Amino acid sequence: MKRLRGAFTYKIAIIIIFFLGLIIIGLIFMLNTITDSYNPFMDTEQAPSFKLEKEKVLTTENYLDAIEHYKELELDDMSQDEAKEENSATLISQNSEVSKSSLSSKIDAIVSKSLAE
Amino acid sequence: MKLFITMVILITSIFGSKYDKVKITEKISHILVFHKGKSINIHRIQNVKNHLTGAYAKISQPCPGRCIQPIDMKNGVDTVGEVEVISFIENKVNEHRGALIDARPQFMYNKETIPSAINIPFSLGENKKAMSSILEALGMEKLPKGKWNDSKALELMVYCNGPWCAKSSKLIGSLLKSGYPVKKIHYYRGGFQMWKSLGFTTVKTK
Repeated sequence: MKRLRGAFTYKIAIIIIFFLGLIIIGLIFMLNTITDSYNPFMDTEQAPSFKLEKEKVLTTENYLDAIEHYKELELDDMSQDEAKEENSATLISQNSEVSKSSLSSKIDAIVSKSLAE
Repeated sequence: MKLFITMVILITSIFGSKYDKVKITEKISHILVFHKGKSINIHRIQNVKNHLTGAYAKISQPCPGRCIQPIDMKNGVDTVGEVEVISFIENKVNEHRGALIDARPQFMYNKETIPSAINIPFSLGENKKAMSSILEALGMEKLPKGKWNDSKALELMVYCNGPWCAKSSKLIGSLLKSGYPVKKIHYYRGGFQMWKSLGFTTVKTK
């Protein structure tokens, strides 16, 4: 009886620990989502300077700087995206193992034969 | 062991799919298809800063030649969009009840295409012998006096380069002329350009 009770307590303990873990992970995820828009742990001294930067009046000089900056950013984005786009296409080998009775192989054979004629 | 399996199931359901950032529809994040014997996940590019580059990024094509195609083909063929294409692949192509057809030339198909598509270049529409073999492969049964039994014909969805590409219309015209039932043909007007512009998975043949 004692053994049975011991095994039961052990199982319950594992389940409780597991769910506690899940709750912690869930909280971390929630915090991550919230911090996308506002970071409560952000250094308080940095916040005002960020605000000032945004409110800065645009002069000809910093306007040109800003344009250069955005051009660079855009170029960075483009190069990253090109790499991403290249990766999005999956390579298929011409000699992939396809059943000869499959529709794809039947049509491929007809098309190749007709184009060769 | 049971406890471990339950934990794995719970963790999987909590963290969800890796294609959840940019889903296809609210309910579908990806679908599994087979292309030349290989299983491929069709999903959208998850990088929200992605731009279309290359030939399909062009917004103007010379017309006459590559003119904008109408939604209504005026021949009773149903015109569809990407969500219908995804549903067609999942419910018809995967179940061997339909075929997604790329009407572009063979070199374009090999360079890049939609997973699960098969290639029937529009130029073969003029070749009666080739069309006859293709119809048979698509499930049409040849009857005497040049007639066809279309009861087992596969449902087809035809696409080409984009909304400015007339290759699909030409191939559909040839299929209808050969006797393929109009109710079993669908036209994906957006074509490969729209497929790529929405960041869907593509395949290249080596």
